[in-house]
Amino acid sequence: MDNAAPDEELMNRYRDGDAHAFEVLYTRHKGPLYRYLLRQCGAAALAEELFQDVWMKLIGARARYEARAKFTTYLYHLAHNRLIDHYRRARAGVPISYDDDPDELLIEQVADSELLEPDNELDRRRLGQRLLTQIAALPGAQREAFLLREESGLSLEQIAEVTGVTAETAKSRLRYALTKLRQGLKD
Amino acid sequence: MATRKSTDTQHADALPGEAGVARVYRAATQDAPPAALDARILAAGQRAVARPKAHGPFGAHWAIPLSTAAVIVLSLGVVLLMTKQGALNHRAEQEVPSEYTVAPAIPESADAERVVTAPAVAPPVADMTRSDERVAVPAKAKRAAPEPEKRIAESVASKPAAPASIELMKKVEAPPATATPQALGRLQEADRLSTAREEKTRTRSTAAGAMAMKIQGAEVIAVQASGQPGSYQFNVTVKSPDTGCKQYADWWEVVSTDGKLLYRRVLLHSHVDEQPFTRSGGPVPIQPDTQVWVRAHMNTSGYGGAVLKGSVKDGFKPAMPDAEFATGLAKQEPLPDGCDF
Repeated sequence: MDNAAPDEELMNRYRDGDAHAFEVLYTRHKGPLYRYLLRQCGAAALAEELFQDVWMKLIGARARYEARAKFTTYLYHLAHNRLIDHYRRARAGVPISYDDDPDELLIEQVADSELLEPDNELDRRRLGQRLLTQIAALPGAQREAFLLREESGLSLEQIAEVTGVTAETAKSRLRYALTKLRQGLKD
Repeated sequence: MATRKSTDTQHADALPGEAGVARVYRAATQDAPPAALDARILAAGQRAVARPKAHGPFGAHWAIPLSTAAVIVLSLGVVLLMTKQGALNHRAEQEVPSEYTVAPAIPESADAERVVTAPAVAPPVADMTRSDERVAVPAKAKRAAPEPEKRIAESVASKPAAPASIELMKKVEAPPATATPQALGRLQEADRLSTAREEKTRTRSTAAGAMAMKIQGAEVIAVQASGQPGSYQFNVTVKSPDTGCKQYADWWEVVSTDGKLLYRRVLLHSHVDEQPFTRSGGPVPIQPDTQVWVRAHMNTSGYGGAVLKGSVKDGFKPAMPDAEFATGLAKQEPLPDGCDF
């Protein structure tokens, strides 16, 4: 029954002392959140550290949780902030794409094609690896928009809310990302 | 394997070409956090909401009212005791030889209605106090002294300085000239409690100091390895005297017996509120019977804490490397890229 409960209800129950509700929430979101962090920072050890920090933050802030927004938005907002905080404190600093999106928009409306429908498992794997390489090469903000979309399933409005930008900016970032990824898969 | 619940469906606001990329992405990536990390986070989540159970007939329901009543009763007892002590002190004061009392504060006056003003600076107590053991004295206590109080004040004022050997009065700063016997008693009691508190604080500080002296470095206290030969994951538990980014354990590492760095797990931040802490890392490129050192590093003092040595096959035990063993690795990459908090 818990497995069908909405996230917000589970978080409310956890806030009120139900440890099992936390377990269900964690199991539901651990994979997507971990992959979001892993693809963003590129190193498993670093991703694990940030991943643990995000959950610890959520645990510590449970008493103040109010289901005003979708739980996923809340969780990824914590993750986004932790990531930015890490970038800021690291000697490398915040990736430039978080501060300054490129003005030039690569408009390439490409419909789904045969290229993205490999015939066999081997081709599918190769295509997948190429896509991961392309994702790693994306500017940070565009990569984040793509990952928030694919891992957390957020809408453009929610991506904008998580990352603190307008919906138009979030949409632009996602469009940039998709265009580059598709282009990369075709090359 | 974590589910992909929310991304299995087409987005309502999907962009052109999004569905195809999403399909490839979902098939390509199934990474998940290590089981050990799952266990740590779930345990933390459970600990956070674990409540101690009420025991016996006076459980949680009665705990607060009972404790409140106990505090009231104890407070009344202390007040009564102090009042009684004050009266005793009054009698003792009258019988005390002149050399046992405090130095003059206010010159005697025949005027029964005079206003007594305590000096802004407490009068000297002539070798009877230490500067760091003073009881606060009101800077200006200005009021008419009732007759009994005035008598005491005048009595006090007429006494010469006492020798330093008087233990009872030793730590009592000169009381205000208007002090009543009760006030004197309370001052003495307060001083006694203050002295006891200071002793307790000193003891605690000494213990903390000894602890700080003892824990010089980051100590590796447990190592667990899992995975395959040539590519093990290590879960390393470290205990370190972290205070924040200025002093924290900034990595743990696996070193071969000939001093080569096999793997280093850089830590992103201090663990002030999580001690000891466990962090996983890998892959560590060793065979089951490869002997290795596992040690941790402080950003302040470097290596120097407890170290474990052993192999995946036989386990890891405390060991003591030479003081200069592989200290040069402290300058070898990867190195911390900052401290988050």
